[in-house]
Amino acid sequence: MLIWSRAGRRATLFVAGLLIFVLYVAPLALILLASLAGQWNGVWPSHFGLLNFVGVFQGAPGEAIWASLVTGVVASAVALISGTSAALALRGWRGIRRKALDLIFFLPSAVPSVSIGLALLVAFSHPPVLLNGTALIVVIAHFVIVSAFAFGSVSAGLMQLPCDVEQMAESLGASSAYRLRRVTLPLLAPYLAAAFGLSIALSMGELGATSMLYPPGWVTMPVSIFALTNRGDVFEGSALTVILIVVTVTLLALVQLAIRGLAGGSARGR
Amino acid sequence: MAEVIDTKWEEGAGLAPSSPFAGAAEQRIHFEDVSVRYGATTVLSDFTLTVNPGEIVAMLGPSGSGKTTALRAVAGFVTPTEGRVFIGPRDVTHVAPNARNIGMVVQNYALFPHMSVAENVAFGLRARRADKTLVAARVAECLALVGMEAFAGRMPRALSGGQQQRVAIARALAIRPTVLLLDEPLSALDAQIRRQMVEEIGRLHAELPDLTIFYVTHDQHEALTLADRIAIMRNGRLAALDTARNLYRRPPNRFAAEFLGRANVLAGEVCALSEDGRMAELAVDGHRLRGANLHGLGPGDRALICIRPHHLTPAPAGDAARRLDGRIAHVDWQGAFEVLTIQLGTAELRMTATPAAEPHRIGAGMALFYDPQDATVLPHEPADG
Amino acid sequence: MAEVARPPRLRPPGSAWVLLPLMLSAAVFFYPLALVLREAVTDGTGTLHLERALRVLNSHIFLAALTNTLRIALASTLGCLLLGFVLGVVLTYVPFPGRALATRLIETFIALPTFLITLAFTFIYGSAGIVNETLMQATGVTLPPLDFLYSSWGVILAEVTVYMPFVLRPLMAAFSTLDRAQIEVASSLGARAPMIVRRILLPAALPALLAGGSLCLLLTVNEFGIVLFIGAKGVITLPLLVYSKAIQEFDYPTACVVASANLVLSMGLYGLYRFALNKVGGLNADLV
Repeated sequence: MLIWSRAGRRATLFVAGLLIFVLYVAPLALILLASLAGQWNGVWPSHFGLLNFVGVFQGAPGEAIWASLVTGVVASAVALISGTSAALALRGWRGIRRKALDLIFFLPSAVPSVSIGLALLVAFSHPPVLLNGTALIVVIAHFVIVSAFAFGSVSAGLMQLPCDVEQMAESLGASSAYRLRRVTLPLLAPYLAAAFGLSIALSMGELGATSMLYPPGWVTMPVSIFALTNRGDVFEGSALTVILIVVTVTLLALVQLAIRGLAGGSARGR
Repeated sequence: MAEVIDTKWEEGAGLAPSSPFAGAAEQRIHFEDVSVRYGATTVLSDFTLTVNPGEIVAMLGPSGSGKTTALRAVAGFVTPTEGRVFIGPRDVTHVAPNARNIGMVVQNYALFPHMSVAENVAFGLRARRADKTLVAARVAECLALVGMEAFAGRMPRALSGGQQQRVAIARALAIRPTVLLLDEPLSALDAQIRRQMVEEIGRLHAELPDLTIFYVTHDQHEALTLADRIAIMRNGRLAALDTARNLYRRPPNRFAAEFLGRANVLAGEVCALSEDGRMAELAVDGHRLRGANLHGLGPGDRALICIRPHHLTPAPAGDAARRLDGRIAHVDWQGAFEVLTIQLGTAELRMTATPAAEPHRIGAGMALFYDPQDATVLPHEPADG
Repeated sequence: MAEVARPPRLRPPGSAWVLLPLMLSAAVFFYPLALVLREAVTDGTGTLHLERALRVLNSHIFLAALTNTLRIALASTLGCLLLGFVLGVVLTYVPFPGRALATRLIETFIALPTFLITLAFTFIYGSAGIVNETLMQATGVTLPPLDFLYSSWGVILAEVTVYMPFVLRPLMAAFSTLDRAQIEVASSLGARAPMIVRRILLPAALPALLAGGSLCLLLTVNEFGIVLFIGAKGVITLPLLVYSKAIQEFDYPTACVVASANLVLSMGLYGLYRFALNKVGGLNADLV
């Protein structure tokens, strides 16, 4: 509607299409191509097959998938519970108190992940709390990194909730606990699902803190991809990257489905 | 079975109507000098009003006049800065909303979107841990009351606005509320459904004559149709309170006269009284107009006279003493009737008339007549913008 | 109704619920961070000792990293704003088939790890990548003619690609609230596309650009994966310096000084972002 001439519209679309293709479509396509390739001499890769994926699943990188999933799910679950409880508690608060606590819970998102890793390293490398070299310290770092996101999503969700519906529940005689269980949390469910899924996705891609902290037995996918490509094994690295992308996109799709399903009202009370 | 539940209610909510919607003084709402202030703004000041058991009182007023605040003070979502709110004999000023046993219906329905119609209606009973068979019976009964029994399994978003509001009413009634609060319940509906719902609420009250209803609206048609008494609000204060009929026929002040039914209000000076003093004659811009003198004004007092547009008729020929000669300034045809604006000196009068066969000519002369018994003389107050 | 303009009161489910999250965040975030700051300004025994910190802050490598970080972040943010605005306008106002898909694809990058774009870029622009191989085969030269990837330009291109969606998303939200009739009326009054963009779309987009841009600045200053993956020798940023000091040289005290400086910078940018967000009002730019 902005550009009425045919030629102008074509030219605009050509430029925009080229940008999108070069910056977003081609990179994804090439990673996919490389993940299937056995050789890359000359312009295009060759010797296509699934050997790289077989290699990933049979070798050490396969364990990275498991480590990433466990780290992501545990860290996100804790972050979701903590974030939801904080967001619910802060809901009635206003003014400076509210701003200060918001800041406290949002701050981790502003700190470089490498610094979070360094801080945990400095804090938990000595007794009494010796966590350095355990998988737990990786999970803790991921929790810190996704916690702000989880808190923010739940807070934003709470703001979207129709307030009068909850007041109605109260006026119909519901106690705080009953209102929370039967009205607030069910209405919040789509936001919780979204926060959980996106937190996992965020955790899956985390590199900075993890590369400061990971113990030998707990290598996550990004760290493993870096190790593979750094030693020149770009094909297996690409295969693992494709797996990471697929897992992430699947999570996003599940989030969409959950939101649609819950908001669609197929969830019945009780 | 029901008795057992009712005692439970008594523990939980502190109030329990002994039989459905019965119990006399229990169901009274009483505001005692209630003021609500937010910082420097006063939204309700020195508000005193009693809604008697079984009565429908409509709060009418422009937006921002404090009527919704008054309703929310009864529901418990607004705490008065000063004064007290009673439900029955009980001072509920500082009682939590969930312990007041009140039924509330709001403009946008506020149904629980994730629950079916039946679950919505059952909500208040389940919150009170009512027995399952009672819940089922009460849900069926209340849905039948609003004609929604066929929709029990539907989700709210599958219903029209009017249907959603019926469910909201059923939900409010299911807990056997002490009083029912309706906050602009029909404002979100379109005109035709609204008329239908007004009749519906009227029928509902006929079926539940003991139910006390506090009804906030800005629509005077709703108020006149439904209310036993109307409270007119203005700038956070009670501007007028009377039965709908009295308020319409004998408005107590200029605001009430103009807000309810858009009466013509002309300013003048009392120049003569009838022998018993009950009728007064005003000099208005060279014309003499007579009306009922209920405020005991005397000769020489500045005063207003209020005449309803439909009380003005074209003057019968020959009755020269009581006719008012003016000119047609404007004609607003509205289908079944038309509104004529008549220029009377510098003043203007609106009158409703059945449409003439021939269209009126602007500027044509027009002689008017009204029965002085239908006009009310009021103490003078300045017009506001 | 004006009367209910004030936010309605809702009883929270107990303010005490905030205690557990607070304790958790104190234990695993604020306490460790405080230790980093303490380590930066004290010697081994815990007494105040600023000399080392000042030495690090004056060192050539720190200053180079700081300059690099700021330069890359500013350039990337500008690129994000420019690209985001152009694509935002086209994706919203120039209809074409597959528009929804393209928007979806770009927004997916918000959730994807940042480093994957660098991996792809080495396949395209790397010394043995598609572009260089094609050029070498066509021209017969033996050295890769296109050599920008292993420099700050490569980092900037990657960061523009990855962080542009953070500008695009609030921007498209802002455009979606803009009444399309405005554009139609402007067109009917004779305005052409450049004028409509300048006089209608740009003013409407400014708050979103401000919010998205300040978020980009924060994220690009903190970016680690892209710089690590490109691994260009001369391109060291603050996060990378922290990493190499701590992990490769085991020099924790220096790492803590650099991390503290980085922290101060990030806090400032975070403040800027919150300020911008307040200006925008209800618009929710995403902070991931």
